[in-house]
Amino acid sequence: MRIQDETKKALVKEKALELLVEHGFEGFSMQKLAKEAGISPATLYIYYTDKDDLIRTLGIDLSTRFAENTLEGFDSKMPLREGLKKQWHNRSRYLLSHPVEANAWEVIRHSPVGLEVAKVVTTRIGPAMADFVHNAVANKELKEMPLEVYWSITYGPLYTLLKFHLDGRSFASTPFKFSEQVMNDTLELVLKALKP
Amino acid sequence: MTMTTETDRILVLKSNIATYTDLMQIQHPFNHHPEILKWNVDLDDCDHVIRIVSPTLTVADIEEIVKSNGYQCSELE
Repeated sequence: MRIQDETKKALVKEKALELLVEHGFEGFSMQKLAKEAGISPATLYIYYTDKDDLIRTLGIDLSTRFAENTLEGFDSKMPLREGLKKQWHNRSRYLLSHPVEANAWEVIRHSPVGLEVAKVVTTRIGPAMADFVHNAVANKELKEMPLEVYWSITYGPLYTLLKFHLDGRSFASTPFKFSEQVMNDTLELVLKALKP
Repeated sequence: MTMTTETDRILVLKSNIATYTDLMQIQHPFNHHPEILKWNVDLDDCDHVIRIVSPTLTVADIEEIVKSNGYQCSELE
C-alpha cells in the first residue's frame, strides 16, 4: 500500500516538472497535473495543500539534488584550477543528464516561491564556495572582485555553452556540440581572466 | 507548524470561495472550530479547493459550516 503510494507520488513529481517546463508557472494547474498523472484532483490535494506548496516542495527537492551534485568530490581547499574543473564537470554533468529538472528549476526560481527555493542552494553550497574563493585569493590564484563579477566570469561561459548545446545550435544558428575539449579550452581562458 | 498524523483525515472539497473577500468571510468559523487542525483554500484553482485536516469531521460537516456562512461546497471527486 505504502509502496504504491510512493510510486504514485514519484510519478506526480515527474509529471509536474514536465508540465512546468511546458506551460510555465502561470499555465501550470493542479487540474492539469492530476489529469496528466492519471489521479484524481482530490488525491493531489491530499499530497499537497495547494499549487504553491507543490511547487515549493519540488523546488526544494531539485535544489537539494543540485547542491549534492555540485559538491560531489569537491573540496574548498582545492587549488583554483582543480576546484573549478571539478565544478564545471559536476555542473555540466548534472545539466546534461537532467535537462527537464534544470529547466523546471529555472521556472521555479522565477516563481513566487523562487527566493525561498534558491536559498536552499545558497545555504547548502554557499559556505564551501565562499571558503574556496577566500583560499584562492589568499593563495594569490584569484583576483579580488565583486561576487557577481566572479560568478559571471566563472560560470557564465559554461552555462552559455551548455545552452547552445541543448539548443543544438549557437546564437548564429550554427550547429554546436559541447565536448570535454571545448570545456577544457574555455576553462583555460576563464582561469586567465581570473588571475591577479 | 501543526503536525498532521496518520489518523487525521484530509477532506477535499470544491467550493465557490473564489476571492480574498470570500476567504475573509469563511476564515473565522474555520479558525475557531476546535475539530479543524489545519485548513486552506486554493483560490488559484478553478474548483477553489477547500482542504481540511480534521480527526473527526466529515464532508457533510464542512458543507454545513460553509453553507451557514453563505457559500457552497461539495466533495471533490
